[in-house]
Amino acid sequence: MLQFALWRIAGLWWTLFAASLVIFIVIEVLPGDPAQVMLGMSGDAQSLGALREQLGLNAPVAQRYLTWATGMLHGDFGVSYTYSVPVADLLRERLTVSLPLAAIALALATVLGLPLGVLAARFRGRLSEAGLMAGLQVGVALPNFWLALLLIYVFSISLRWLPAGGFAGWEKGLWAGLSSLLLPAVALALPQAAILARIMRSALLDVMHEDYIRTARAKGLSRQATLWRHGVRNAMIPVLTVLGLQFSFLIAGAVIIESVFYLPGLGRLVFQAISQRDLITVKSTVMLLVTATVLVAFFVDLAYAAIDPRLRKAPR
Amino acid sequence: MMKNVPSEKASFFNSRYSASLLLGTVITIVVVGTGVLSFFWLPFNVSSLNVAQRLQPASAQHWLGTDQYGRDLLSMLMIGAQTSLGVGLFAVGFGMLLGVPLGLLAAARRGFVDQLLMRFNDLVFAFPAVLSAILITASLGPGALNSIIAIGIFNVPVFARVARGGALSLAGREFLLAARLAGKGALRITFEHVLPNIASLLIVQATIQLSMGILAEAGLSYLGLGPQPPLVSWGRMLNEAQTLVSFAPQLALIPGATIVVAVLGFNLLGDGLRDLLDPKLRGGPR
Amino acid sequence: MRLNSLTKLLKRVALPCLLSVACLAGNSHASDHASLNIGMQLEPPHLDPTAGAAGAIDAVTYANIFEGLTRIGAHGEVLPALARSWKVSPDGLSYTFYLAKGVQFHDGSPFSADDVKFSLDRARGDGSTNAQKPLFSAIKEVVAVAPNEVRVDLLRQEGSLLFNLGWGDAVIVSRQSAKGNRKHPIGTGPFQFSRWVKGQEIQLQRFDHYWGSPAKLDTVRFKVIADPNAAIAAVMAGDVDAYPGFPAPEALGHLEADPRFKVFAGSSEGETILAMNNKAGPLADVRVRRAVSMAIDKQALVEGAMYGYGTPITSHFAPHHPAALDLAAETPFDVREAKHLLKQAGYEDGFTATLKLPPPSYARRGGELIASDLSKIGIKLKIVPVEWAQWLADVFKGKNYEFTIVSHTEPMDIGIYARKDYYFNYDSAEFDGVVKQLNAASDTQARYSLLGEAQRIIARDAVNAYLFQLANVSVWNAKLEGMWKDAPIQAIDVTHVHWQD
Repeated sequence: MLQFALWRIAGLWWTLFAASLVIFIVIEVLPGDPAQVMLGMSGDAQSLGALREQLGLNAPVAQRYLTWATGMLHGDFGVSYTYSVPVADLLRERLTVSLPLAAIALALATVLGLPLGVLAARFRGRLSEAGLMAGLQVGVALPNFWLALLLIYVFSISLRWLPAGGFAGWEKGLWAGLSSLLLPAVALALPQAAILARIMRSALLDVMHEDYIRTARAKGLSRQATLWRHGVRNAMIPVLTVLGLQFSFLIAGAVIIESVFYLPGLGRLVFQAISQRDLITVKSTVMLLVTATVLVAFFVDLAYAAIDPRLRKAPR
Repeated sequence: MMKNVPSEKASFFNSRYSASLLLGTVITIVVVGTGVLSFFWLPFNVSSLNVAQRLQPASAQHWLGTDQYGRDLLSMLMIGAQTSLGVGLFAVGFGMLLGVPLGLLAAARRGFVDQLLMRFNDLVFAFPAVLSAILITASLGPGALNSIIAIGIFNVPVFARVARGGALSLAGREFLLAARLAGKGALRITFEHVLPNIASLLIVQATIQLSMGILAEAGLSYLGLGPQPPLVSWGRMLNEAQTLVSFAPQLALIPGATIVVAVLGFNLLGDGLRDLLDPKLRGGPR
Repeated sequence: MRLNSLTKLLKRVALPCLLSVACLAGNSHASDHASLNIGMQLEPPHLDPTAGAAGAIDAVTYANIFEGLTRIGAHGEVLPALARSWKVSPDGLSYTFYLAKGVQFHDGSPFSADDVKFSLDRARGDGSTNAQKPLFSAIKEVVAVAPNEVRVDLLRQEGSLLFNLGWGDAVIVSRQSAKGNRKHPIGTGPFQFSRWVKGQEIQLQRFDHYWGSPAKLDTVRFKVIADPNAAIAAVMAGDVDAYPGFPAPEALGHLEADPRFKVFAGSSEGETILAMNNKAGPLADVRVRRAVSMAIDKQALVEGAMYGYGTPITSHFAPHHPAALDLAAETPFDVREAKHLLKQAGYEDGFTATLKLPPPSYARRGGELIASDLSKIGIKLKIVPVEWAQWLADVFKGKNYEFTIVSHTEPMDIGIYARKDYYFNYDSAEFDGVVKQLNAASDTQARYSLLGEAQRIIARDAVNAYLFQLANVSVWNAKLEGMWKDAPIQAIDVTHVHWQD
């Protein structure tokens, strides 16, 4: 187990290093000069040069990479060109939106998806399964931003029950914050719930095939009890993987939903920073998101290995 | 085990799975067919804009009405299929063309090459897909070709994994040994024996990636980073309709529903094909 | 569509959990009469109007947080502000301002003539980062004569001095707090800065020790809502009470019909043009440029891209200005004549070119319509959407473009056609001569006739295709009063805004 963990940690660092290089290079390639953007149509050559110097844009490429990468290791994410505040502060502000949004969406998806998956497996072969599966198929095919548009149209504009967008802020009370995140979370969660349900169903069907299920049934345990006591528990492994992947998707991939609801989340921060050529913010935020994704995958892997010793071979 | 699965139920499974396959095939044929048809014939010309005709309701002339520039919505959907399916297809092609050889190579060589592929996969999966698609289109510029690259990059590790897994499962099979004994080279064995045997796996994966590609194109277009005018795509139609959703909801509803139907079709087809090709999942008592 | 009946169904089949949500949510929408939520498209990079060109800085701070000696009113007129009155010497070279009494900055420090001297010297000094330094170029010296009296001596006569001192770039700041104004602006206005949630909103609070008549609102929030779709949703759902410079003209017809809202289409200083690189291939030929201008149906363009909110223009000049001429006869909409001109220029079969479009919807939508228009005379345009960063680097600075669409929002900016090395690549000795005379002329009639000459020359040379004047469209809650209709400067002055009872 220890050897496996060490091996995975080495892989983790490698991935993070390679990712930081990729991010840095891609962002160097972005056309457009941050200094020019800050000065707009009125900047002259002299002030442009001064600003570039001030932003540290004139240093050699390798040096800029090292400054950035070593800074990140010390928790220094740089200072935003656009807002002239530390990027870390921006990230902290944005996380108070992105994390709860991802958590609510994930909770919704789990609460909806897993029971539906179990039901679909239980009803296997009945007409109700066909109906359920058809519903899930449609759910998987739904573009979440389109769903979001429909939700806004019905619940904000027509019924005026929930705000159409924006984030009221937690300091105005729990409900104020939650109400701004409810529609976006539903839009994000429904397609994810459909995916989860399908995974749950097929994992269950796979598991129900196994010998220990037959044994349990042979011992006289009811079908119902077998399904819940043995089936669901063992089917959780693939489900957990998908949940892990979904969490990183929900934190970073919510860009489009954040645009629809103009939520000040992490994805939107990156999107805006790209168009304003606030390169340091783009670099650091993307790196943070990549790190989160890699870490989640790492812990999911470790959790597996802890559950299932067969997965503990060092080089996969 | 279920208690005595009645035989008519078993046949019902089979008929339902073929129902999924049938429905998927029908939808796919209709969607792809209209896309192909639009190359030769359209109800109305959509390249010249006519503002005076804009936002007309459905009528005998314009079956689905007209959009904000007075273009026939049905014609837009038809010609939009070209781009939406095209971007998805080329992205799948991109992924297959790079991913399958990589996967096969990794399966054949194992060791170092295999490790390298794994590390590459780790790297690609470390980036949240939407985010890197945005980064890629921002640095290369928005457009159809760059959307293909941005979406296609994520297909590479997917196909590499499928090809590698498929090839490994064939390792040690008799027909491969026989081919090797007959003196065939590795490349020839790969082409003549391995590829045909994993083709079904790849095709199933391709339909799934295609439907994901269509969704991804729609998402990129919604952010304005996808194909650009004069190209029409379903995602771009949604993008242009988003501000009109309160006043002319049909402009957002119809392209969105079209995306859902198309994606549903490819998913059903993929599922149906998998069930057909993978006997483990088919009918059979559980 | 069916959604309406779905809505009705949902309303009737009272889903219990959602209903309880509704009751709770209902309160968050109701606007109390002491606060105001304003939507704005662009977030300011910082909040110091004396150190940045971004219009969004002025939008939040002008008149609300910061005041100058004079100020510009809702109709572009000069009004007294911190200077309650002034006297001009007979030779026009010396202005004496008499300042308001009992004024204090938001940090409690008193305001005096020293602050005026400090602010003006800082704006025009060597280390100045002021974006509009030329506004102060005529000033020789600023003298604090008494605590409430300031004299400004000039190098030359400057008819527009009082107007210039009313710009956001000329506001009065305090010596102690000037450095911190980017993050925490401290001025003398009726509102003080309270907090800024980046990417979301900027909040102002009424300043209780304001020297003049106090503001009627307690709290004003400027909410950053860049996306046109989100702007519509926010207005319709009541999340914002007013949105000056509303970015989605397509929604205005419906908002106008809704009794909850008032819609105003005022004038703006934004001339929207199809800019042409006058040195790029076929576009170097005036006949080609004229053909392009004549092939564009401007009326349909205003209708299609702006849903009718805009005024077609015939030269680079605001049509509401008294010196504006109607030069439609120079390049009338005439596709046949346009084809004829192209043929004369040797492009009978047309040509292919690129059209680079910055992000605003007037450019993106206009581009699609213009591409369709130009295809009718054989010019095939490849549309390349760019972000502002790329536009500035590529088009504006690099002059690496053939066509682009952009709105020039500075007031009275026809002089840019005389700039050497400007991105149009236009060079006309005749035009330069007119501008030189214009700068020297002080008589209004003479100035107007020179301005007319300038308009005529660039229209005749078809330097660019002049499309339309942007409308400054604002949407307000119907119960709100006192907002500006026109946009003579980029300000959202809320000092007199109040709710009707």
